[in-house]
Amino acid sequence: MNSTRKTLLSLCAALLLTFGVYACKSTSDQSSVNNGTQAGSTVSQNTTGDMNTAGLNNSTGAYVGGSGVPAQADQPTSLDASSRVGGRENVQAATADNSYAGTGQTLITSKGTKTTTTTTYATPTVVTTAPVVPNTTETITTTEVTPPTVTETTTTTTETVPMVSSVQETTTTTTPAETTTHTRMHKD
Amino acid sequence: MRRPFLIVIAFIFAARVYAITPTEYLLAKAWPYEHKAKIAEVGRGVGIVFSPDLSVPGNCRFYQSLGFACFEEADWDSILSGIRTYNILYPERAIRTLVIETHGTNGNGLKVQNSYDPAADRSYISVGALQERIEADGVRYVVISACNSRRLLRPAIYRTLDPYNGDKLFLPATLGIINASEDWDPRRSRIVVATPATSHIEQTLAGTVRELSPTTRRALTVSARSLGIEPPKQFAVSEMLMQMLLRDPTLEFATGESIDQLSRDQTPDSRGEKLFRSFVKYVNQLSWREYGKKKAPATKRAAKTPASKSASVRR
Repeated sequence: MNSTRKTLLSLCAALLLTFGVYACKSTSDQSSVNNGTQAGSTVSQNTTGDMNTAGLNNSTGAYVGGSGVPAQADQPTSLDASSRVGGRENVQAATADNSYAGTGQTLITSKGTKTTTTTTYATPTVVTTAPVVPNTTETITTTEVTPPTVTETTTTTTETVPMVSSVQETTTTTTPAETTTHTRMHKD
Repeated sequence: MRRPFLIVIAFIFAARVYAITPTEYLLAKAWPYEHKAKIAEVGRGVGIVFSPDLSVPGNCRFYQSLGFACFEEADWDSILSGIRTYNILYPERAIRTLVIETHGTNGNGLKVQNSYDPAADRSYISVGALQERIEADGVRYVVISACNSRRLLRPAIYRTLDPYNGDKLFLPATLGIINASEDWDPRRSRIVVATPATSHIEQTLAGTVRELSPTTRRALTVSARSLGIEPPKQFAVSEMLMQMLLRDPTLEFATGESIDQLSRDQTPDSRGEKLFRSFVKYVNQLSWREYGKKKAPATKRAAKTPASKSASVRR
């Protein structure tokens, strides 16, 4: 009994010594600082370093024509809903306007070379030939669809200065390549 | 039988707890880590010496805002006078550790210079002379962050530099060379000189204050104005200083051991960038801990403390 008590006492003493030393160490020791973690701010990087602005569709032509009937003040396009709760409203949709015409420019810039492509386009026209009625009663109607009138003018210029955005650029913005490298000085 | 066994185990545990590396021990002594340090107290008791051509405009203002004493001269004599003046004027924050951010001239002498122009202001000092001159001022640790710094400890040039060493980097000493006196005995010096364990070309990165968080910028502004100096806009920080500040486990110091071999090794750029990001994060954390939960610190010109009286000394 006595030996067991002594053993327990020695065990407790050893543990007390260990934890005491460890506690002293933790109070006097220094905390380490995280290394290698990313900074709070994130900067986008471009791996190629090339500014690519291909696909700037700068449409300058005005859409002409249009067969849609404008809504009038005294004739709303949406009809009254039925008296039933949750009932759907009957909507009278306007006729779609599929015609188009105008000119557009496409600016492609890569490594100081700027290529501008001007395109003029219009709605394909449908030409209906007059029915040929010779001496028979049979009526033949031929419908011919002409290809759209597209005229392309390609201008390629080479610039040594960094890319300058076209005046017509309104929809696409270019993010320049940004690197986070700092100036380094060698202590030789 | 059990009791001795348990005691042995207890001692093993205790020994493991205290098993710290010499570098950790040196850092703990030279630059005690203050877990709750304020931005203006990070560098308390630590002085930094910059060679002007390894610095950026207003660099010292950044370090002064962090609590360091900073010296940036091309004349070692002015630097040593500045250290003495600082420790006399501010005994409560006297310099105990000096970090040397200068050229090592391929291990042929500590060099500070304005530029590589042969006619530019330039001076050299031997490690022994540095120990001799600053020991009386109370400095106890010198950490040399220079190129091939362990070569500076070679016995042949420890006290007296050799101006005819044939190294093309050893440009004309337009402002002189400081050597130790004849009767100075390095064995009696109490100053510990530490250098990186691996000899290589040290690098310094230049950053801007804009890279720090708004809270940190405001904290730096408050600290700078309390010292009567303009808030810094940019700073230069060496990889070794960042490692010291961050307690980087890969940092390894050697004390009093010289080598002869000249090294051309350079650390990869990615390592410096990684350290820089950690440094920025560390400073941001400190400022957030100090100011983040409070209202943003006022940037009004604070009342001048006694430290502001010698702003010119701590340029």
